Amino acid sequence: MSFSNQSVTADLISLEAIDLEPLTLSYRKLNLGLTFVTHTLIIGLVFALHFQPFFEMPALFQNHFYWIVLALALLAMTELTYHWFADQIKAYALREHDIHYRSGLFFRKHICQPLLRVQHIEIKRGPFERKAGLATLQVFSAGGAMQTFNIPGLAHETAIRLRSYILGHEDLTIDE
Amino acid sequence: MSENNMLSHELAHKDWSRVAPIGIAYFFVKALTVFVTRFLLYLIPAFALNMEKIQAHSSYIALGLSVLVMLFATGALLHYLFYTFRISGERVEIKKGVLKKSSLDLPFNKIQNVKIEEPFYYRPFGFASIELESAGSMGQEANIVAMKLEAAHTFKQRILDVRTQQDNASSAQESNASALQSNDSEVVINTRSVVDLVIHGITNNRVWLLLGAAAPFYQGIVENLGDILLYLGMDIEAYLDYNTQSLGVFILHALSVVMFIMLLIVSLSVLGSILVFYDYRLSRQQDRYVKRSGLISKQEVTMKKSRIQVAVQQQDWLDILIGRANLKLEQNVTGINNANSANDLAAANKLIVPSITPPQTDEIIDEVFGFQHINQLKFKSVSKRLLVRLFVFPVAPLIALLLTIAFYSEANWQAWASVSLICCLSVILMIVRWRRWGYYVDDKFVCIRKGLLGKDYVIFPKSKTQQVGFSQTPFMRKNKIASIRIVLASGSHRVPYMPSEDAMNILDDSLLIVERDKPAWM
Repeated sequence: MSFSNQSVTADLISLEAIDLEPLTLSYRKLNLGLTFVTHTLIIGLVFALHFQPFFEMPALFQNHFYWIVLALALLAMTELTYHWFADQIKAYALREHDIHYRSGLFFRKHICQPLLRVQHIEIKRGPFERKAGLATLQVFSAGGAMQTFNIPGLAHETAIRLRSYILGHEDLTIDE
Repeated sequence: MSENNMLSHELAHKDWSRVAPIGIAYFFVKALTVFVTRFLLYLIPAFALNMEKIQAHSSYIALGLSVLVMLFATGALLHYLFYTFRISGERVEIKKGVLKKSSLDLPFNKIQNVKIEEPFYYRPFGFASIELESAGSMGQEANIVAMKLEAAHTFKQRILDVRTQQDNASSAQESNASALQSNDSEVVINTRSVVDLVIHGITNNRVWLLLGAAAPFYQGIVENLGDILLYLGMDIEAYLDYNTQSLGVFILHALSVVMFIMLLIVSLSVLGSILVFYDYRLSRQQDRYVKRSGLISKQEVTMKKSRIQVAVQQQDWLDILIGRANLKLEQNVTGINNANSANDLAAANKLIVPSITPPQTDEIIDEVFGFQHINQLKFKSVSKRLLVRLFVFPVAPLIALLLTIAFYSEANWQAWASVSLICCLSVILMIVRWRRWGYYVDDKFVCIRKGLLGKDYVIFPKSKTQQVGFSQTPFMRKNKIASIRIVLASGSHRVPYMPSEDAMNILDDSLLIVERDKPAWM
């Protein structure tokens, strides 16, 4: 990724004029893959229950079997479509004095965390993220756990570089 | 100077030492409180119903109780023996625990709040316990269980002085020499009379203050109210039996029961309010505010002015009618156990001034932030499209649900009437909600007005901003409106559906102030 370190004069820091960096493609692939696998498993289970010879299923289930499968398939399709579009919108930017994250397909959210107010940083990686070489950057400021600033789907090296940039930032030593 | 001598005498413990023996009482009461609130209260209905059996075996019960008390006393003694502390240089160290040991090392400069408490059993002997709240992570709160009251005050002063010096050394802007001269000149800002506290008890439900932080107590009573009343000789079920009475008598009975419960709650609430806020005094000591109050157990909370993040003036509908308001000065909540402090009026991270008049709020906000006349501000209202949004959710689903239920249950005309009444009410409430939202912004401050039946004013300096958020749906973008959220160390505040230009300006300006001037938030 291009290491965004543009020089911004202090008087011109509008939120509107920011070039955001989209998340990695593998993040979207991972989400789509995981959603696909989960729903395939669920639908597979429903099929197995329908056709297994070991015990009787409730009549309600047997009679409406195809409707159930259809509903589950629709749900899966919706979720896949959601990830397909929503994950393209997720983007972040690091500026001299703050870090930004945009997300949300319908409810578009743009969060900005001034580096001055950063308390500490964590890099979190689940098992699937590790497999895909991804990481989630968590930036903590004061104000409770609800207000954690998360950037998912970063390449691991990017996350590490972002972390060391933020930790090395001059502002961090000022604010206690 | 005599104070300083005493300080060195009392506090210069180079070695680990125990607190005064009265600390045993502290541990005893603490264990008893936990036992009663977590365990005993659930058994009250069982006791009430088995009163005869209990009376028959009263000697056994007495024996059991005394054994229990002995057990608690032994436990308290052990806790006391294993509790040692040391104050060396500029740090407090505490070791405690009988089976589960813990040790704590807290430097003075990490201490955010100092709370001095005088439980009623300490007061005749002139002792106090000190609660030190650190700004760091959770579980770092430390108590010094018992200390002579004067020593406690000197100790507090020493902690605060260390902090003041540090602050002054670290930031050049804040250093004014006068703050260093530790003269104890105190300016009283506000006091509350008993009449004020009675008003406070009536307008605010402070019932649970009586019960302390012990929610289980309240729940237990509510769940078993019927049993308790039965024991008191009131058969509430027969009293309210719909089948055996005419409708008029039934309604009369129901009303009287409601009135009785209301009266009970209100009087308990008044009692709770007086218990906690008796002899309320808010005063300023150099750069910090001190709150003192309490009837039986006294407490004193000290909060540094620069740490106040936000001031909130709250008015319920009843408050609005009689022209009163509660003012809350809030500070950092990070790391403090929120589950407890949210409802805890005694929590040190919130400074509450109960039931003052709006002009008095204006005065205090002027004193704290240098911002005048928040009650006379002309607030800008938010977009009317908020009405649409509120209608889509939650008003329309509610109406749809009610209508569906009424339709399928083939309701009579009374039910239809009440359903349509509720529908009208929810639409009215929606409009009121929209009208309440308002915002006002100047160079330094953001003010928000909100509420439903009540009315809240929120004011905070832009320089305390921790994080900002801007959100829009495609519809909102098309109509050039946006919602914003500003996170402070005390929690987040939002304004929905304001013109996106204003929203952008507020956020940009807050960011500019924070990033260019680098103001401290603590």
